[in-house]
Amino acid sequence: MDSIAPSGDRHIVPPPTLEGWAYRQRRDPVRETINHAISPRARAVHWQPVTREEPLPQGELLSALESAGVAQAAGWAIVFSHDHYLTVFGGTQNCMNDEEAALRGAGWVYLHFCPVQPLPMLSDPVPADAMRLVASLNGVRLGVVTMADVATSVALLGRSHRNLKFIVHQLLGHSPELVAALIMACPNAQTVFWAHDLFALCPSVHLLRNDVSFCGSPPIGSPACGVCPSGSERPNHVTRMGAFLANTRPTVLAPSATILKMWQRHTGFMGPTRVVPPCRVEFQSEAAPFHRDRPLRVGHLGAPLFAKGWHAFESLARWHQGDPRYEFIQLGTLTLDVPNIRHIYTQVSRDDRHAMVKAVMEAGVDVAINWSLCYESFSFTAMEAVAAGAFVIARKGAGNVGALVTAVAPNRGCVIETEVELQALFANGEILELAAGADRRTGHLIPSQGTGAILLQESGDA
Amino acid sequence: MPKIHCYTSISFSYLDRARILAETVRRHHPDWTMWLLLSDDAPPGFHFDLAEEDFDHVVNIRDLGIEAYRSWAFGHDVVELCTAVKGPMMHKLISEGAEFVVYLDPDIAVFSPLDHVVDMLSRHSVILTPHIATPESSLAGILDNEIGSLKHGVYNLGFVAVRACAEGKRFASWWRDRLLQFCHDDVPNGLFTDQRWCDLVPALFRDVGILHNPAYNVASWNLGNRPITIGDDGLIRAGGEVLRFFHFTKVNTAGEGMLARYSYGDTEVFELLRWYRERLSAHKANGLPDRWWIYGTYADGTPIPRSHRLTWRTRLDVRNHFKDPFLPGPSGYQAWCAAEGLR
Repeated sequence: MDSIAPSGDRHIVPPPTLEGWAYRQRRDPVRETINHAISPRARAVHWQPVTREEPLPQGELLSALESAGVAQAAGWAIVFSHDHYLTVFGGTQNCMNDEEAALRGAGWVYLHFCPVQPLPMLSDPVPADAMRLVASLNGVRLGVVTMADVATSVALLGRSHRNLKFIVHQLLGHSPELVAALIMACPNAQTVFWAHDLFALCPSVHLLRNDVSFCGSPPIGSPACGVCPSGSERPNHVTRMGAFLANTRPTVLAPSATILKMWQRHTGFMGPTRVVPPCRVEFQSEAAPFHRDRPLRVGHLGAPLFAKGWHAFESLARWHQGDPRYEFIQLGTLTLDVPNIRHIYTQVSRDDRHAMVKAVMEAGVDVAINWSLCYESFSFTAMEAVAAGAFVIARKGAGNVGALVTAVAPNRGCVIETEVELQALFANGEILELAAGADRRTGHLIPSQGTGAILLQESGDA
Repeated sequence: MPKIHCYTSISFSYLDRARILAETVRRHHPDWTMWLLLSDDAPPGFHFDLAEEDFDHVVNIRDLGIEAYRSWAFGHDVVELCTAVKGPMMHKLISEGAEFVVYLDPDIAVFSPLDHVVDMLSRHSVILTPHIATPESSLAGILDNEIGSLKHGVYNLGFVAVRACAEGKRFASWWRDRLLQFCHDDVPNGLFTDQRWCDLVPALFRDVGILHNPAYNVASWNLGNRPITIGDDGLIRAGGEVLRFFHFTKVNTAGEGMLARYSYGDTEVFELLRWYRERLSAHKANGLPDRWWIYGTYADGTPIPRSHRLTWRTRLDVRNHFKDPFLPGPSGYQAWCAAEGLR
């Protein structure tokens, strides 16, 4: 208390804004996240089924498949993922929508299954008649089916149709043994496995140890796994995923060379692989002007999630409150009430895939901060920022983000290592010069056909 | 290598911590013999079965051969008592033929084999770990850790290892004798349980080994100079060395704040802390009443104030008069303290 001025020196008082500063409890979002980290199994306890519907009679599934034209179809794509791609939006779901459009355009039938009980891990081994899935056929939800009925129907399909392909986008919530049995019952069918993420290596999909640090897939049983809530689940998980890959012998596709390299190094997979980026940018020749007469508009694209680097963005916005050089904007469907951050509701959907690019352009975002803590396999938000003409600040270690920004358009971004460097860029104003000198051309996102292009090429239907 | 005996000392309230210690020692040294030293009795209905524990043996304070142990125990609070019995236990194990003895505090967790300790035991009589092994460079560090070491002891007695050579036996006898008489938290008078005593050890005994390796006995008081990192290789390091054991002092009170002060914004140490709390939860002593300690109350359940303990240990006349200080009643020690105005 010796820092308090004696009463005679009333003119020597701390500025009002600093009163009590030293006694405030400082929030540390990283520590808070660590303290709340729990195992996938503990998290799964709170996850509810997506529907309470009873399974369809087996005959109904069969007749739906027959009415889709078993014999006439150019091919059948039997697809597995973790959620209902027709009603949930995200990077993987985008790929699936594009893939479906390409295949159906070429006369294929697209049959999709996701688990009724979503899980942040694999399903424990269960009998086929206890495994319930939501089935969708050619973009229409059919209803709930059991894996036992799926196995019967697909086996019949496999006998009557030569061009049968399995596409596995994600096994979260699935029992890999049941999916593998289904695939192995159709020995002539080809299988494609997507490495959209690193789920093959650990139930922690993004390999975020204690939900905060990318662990790099250390040896199973290592001390690092020992202090992570996913660590105890990992040995069995990796065994089951390894058995799935060994039994189904797929072609592995990945959205970037970055993720494929990491995935291959740690799975030891020696089979065929391909890199299939989900989209590219076609730039226009003209660039939007840079406005030095207004604050630099700094954006966070997507949900305000810790794993996507929201804490770094929020911290900057709070620090620079009242700083006339910067304005902070968040674009997405969800928001948090944070001072000095303007939220712009933006929803990318199946019908409006360019909503984010349009919103970023309309808001005049000059700089997008992509401070993802995950090892990003592609990063649609980075791609959207680039297409909208924004300069992208990427975190080194965020997987494909830095590589993508550098490769797609040089002079469009910078890659830095630490949050301290990020803060320094804004504190000393260096970011203003980087943004002013950047290539500001805008462009269109051109989606690829995903697996569709590969399968059609191989089938000679392209 | 002859068998190493490892022990820890607790009241039942620290059973969860001791279980983590035993679990982690077992993982890395399955051949060590684990001993649990209890200065406590189980409350009615509480289930404790050695067969379900990672310990090989359990020893109760009453088995240490301490004269009038209940009267002696009354003069100590729980930390003092669980520390004081470390000396008699070390002496007992060595007297019974143990060639190497390692003491570890119950709030320690072992992360990888204690190879350096095993190696040093072949050459040294006593091995100690200093609280700090690097000079501090900030005022806060000097106040907390250097002056803290001057007050509370240069060496942290969460760890001590002894070889049963002549010097090791001499140390064990001396340590037992001092702790039986002077294991008190009395910093103004130069005592802090067993730790200040061990400041004398390098002077009083030969072949004493000081383990400076930053990976041993990592805790808030030395974290500032031994940052924790977790590498892609899956190894946890402290000050660049593979972490051997971490001392989770006061994790549910001031410990986390001190870790925050000396982690300088790094968060890996909080990953260790999260894990430790998860293990605490897994090893919870189910059914144990909160703050249970058989020597914490008079026989009628009234908590024993520190003033009653201090008077007991300083007044020989009182100790001679009241044979069992725990007994209640109008002619008991408790009533006498009340009449004397001791609160």
